[in-house]
Amino acid sequence: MKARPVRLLVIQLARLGDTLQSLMALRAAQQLYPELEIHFVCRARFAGAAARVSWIKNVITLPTDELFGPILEGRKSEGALVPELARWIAPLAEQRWDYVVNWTYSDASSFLTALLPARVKLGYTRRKDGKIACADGWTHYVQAIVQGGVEQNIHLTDILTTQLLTALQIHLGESAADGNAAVTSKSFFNLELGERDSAWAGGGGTSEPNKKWIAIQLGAAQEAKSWDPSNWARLARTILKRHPEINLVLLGGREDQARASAFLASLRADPAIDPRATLSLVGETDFDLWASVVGRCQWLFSGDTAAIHLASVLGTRVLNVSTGPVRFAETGPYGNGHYVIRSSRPCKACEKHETEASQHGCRDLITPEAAYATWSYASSEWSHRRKTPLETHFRNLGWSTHARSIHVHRSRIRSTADGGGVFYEPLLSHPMTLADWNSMVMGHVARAWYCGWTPQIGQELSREAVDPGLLQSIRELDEESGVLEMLLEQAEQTALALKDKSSLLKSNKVMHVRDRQQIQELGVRMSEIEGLLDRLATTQPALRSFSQMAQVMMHNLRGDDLRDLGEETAISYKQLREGAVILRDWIRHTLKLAKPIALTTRPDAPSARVVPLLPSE
Amino acid sequence: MGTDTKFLQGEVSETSDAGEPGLNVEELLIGLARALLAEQRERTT
Repeated sequence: MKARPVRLLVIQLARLGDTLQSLMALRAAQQLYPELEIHFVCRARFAGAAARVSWIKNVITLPTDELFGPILEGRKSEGALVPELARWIAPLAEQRWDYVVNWTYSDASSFLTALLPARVKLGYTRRKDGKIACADGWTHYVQAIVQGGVEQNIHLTDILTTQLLTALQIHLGESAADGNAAVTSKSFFNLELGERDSAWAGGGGTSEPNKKWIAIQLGAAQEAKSWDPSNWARLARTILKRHPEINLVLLGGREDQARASAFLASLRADPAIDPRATLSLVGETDFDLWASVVGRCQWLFSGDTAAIHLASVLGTRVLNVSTGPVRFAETGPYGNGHYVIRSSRPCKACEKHETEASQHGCRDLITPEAAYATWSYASSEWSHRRKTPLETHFRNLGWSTHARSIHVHRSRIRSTADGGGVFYEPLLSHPMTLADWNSMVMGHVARAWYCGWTPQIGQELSREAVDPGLLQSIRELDEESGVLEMLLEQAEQTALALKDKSSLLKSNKVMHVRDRQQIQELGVRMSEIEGLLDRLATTQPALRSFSQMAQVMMHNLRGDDLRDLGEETAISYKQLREGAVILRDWIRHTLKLAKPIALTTRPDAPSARVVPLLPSE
Repeated sequence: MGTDTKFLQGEVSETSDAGEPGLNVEELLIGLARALLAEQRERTT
């Protein structure tokens, strides 16, 4: 007997990149729970991708231009918007939803989620008092950590996937499917291709079997996140001269025309370059043509754009030149064998989220030579099988200096036994910063909190990554993390005492003076502990995650009386304390990694040679 | 270890055919309109 459809409404009002990541997460859920009937709400401008997915039942678009255009142009008053929005929402609000999943993580989307009736809600919504609320644990994490500016290393696609699958598992039970089907595929979209695609495929396109194609996505939503066209052109010249089998196709929107002109002019100025090897489709692609081109290319080169998510969905390999304020561990290309290049030096403009591109020194530290060396290494993995270190490859090309100011990471999907999800493996030796180390710890803590299972502590931390600077920072953190654990335990005990005391009351309002005094004292104690947690996070920024999580969790307490609130407070602090225990385990593991090691332990050896890796205290 | 499933299951209502009890629909609509408009202004500047 066919199972009753489970009606799921997903709200994704962010940009195209977020839409594509949502589609990947939904594909995984739909494969495990085929009874899902998926409805997708998005902005009209970004509806193209969802509209081409056969397993989405319905795409509902928010007509932003029609709704807001007249108001922004002063032709209509703001008051006119409310009835128009009400008319747009009415058909959604009249339906019976099993799940409403808000993956936009914005203020506006929280109102929409609150307006729609559903049996289960995930993501941001609104409380009865009108304040923003997190409907589930992963949403606590997104608000406090991801949006709170704390480094962590779980990819957003993995967060969305796990958030939905966990809720489905709780409410629907275990999936009957094994979950091993591939999520990404060249046929992910049912594209509607017209004559222009035939021209690309048959004329200048991919019909020549010996030709390999690289797509270059020029530009990005923010100038700081885009590499200069002169850099792309220098990289292209190097590739075309050394690899005659390669053709290039330029991609971008109408706003990228100037970039494309600069790029093409630079190529034409070089007589050694055959102009027929480069095709520009800048400003000419709708979603279907864009997806078709990216899907047929062997590689996509791009900054932080939706194109890297499109390539991820389609299984096209990505060289991501990551510049500007981007956290690639969260939003980088998803899948196996993608490469991310990023400056290894701190960029003040990135820290301050400066919009002016010229302020971003990180854009200039990645050279075309570094990008070429990385790509040529990546595209020849079949021959060196990654037994040759990337540093050696740079040296063989005579470009070792170009490797000094960059990080290169290679993506891989962990096995299910190792916890699953995408991980970015560093390929060049650089000292690890405390922020990098902390992002690994935070990812581990989150998996313990929300997946209920974690791999071994320090699984992806190598001894070589622990340098004296990091070691010193971790020694300082050791003491402060002990204080953190103690405070969290005190908070938990205080909340439990509050719960026990409240359980004995006959009323929350009318009580004995002595009881009221004791409850007030417990409340004061709880406030003091919260204040101390905040002060600790100010002193030691690596502990900011715990204080921010505590704030979000306390804001989201559910319960109608003191007893319920006390109980949920205790559960929250217990969760945080367990996270602090994991942090302390990581500290111990890292300090142990740095201890001297015996190079030989043969019993007949005259004396075991002990080599200190790092100076110990 | 694992978080209390209460935090993982999402916000659960008894029925899916009733709106959220206690929420003021008009206030939510006004909030939605203001927030969307603010986002739109930010996108166009």
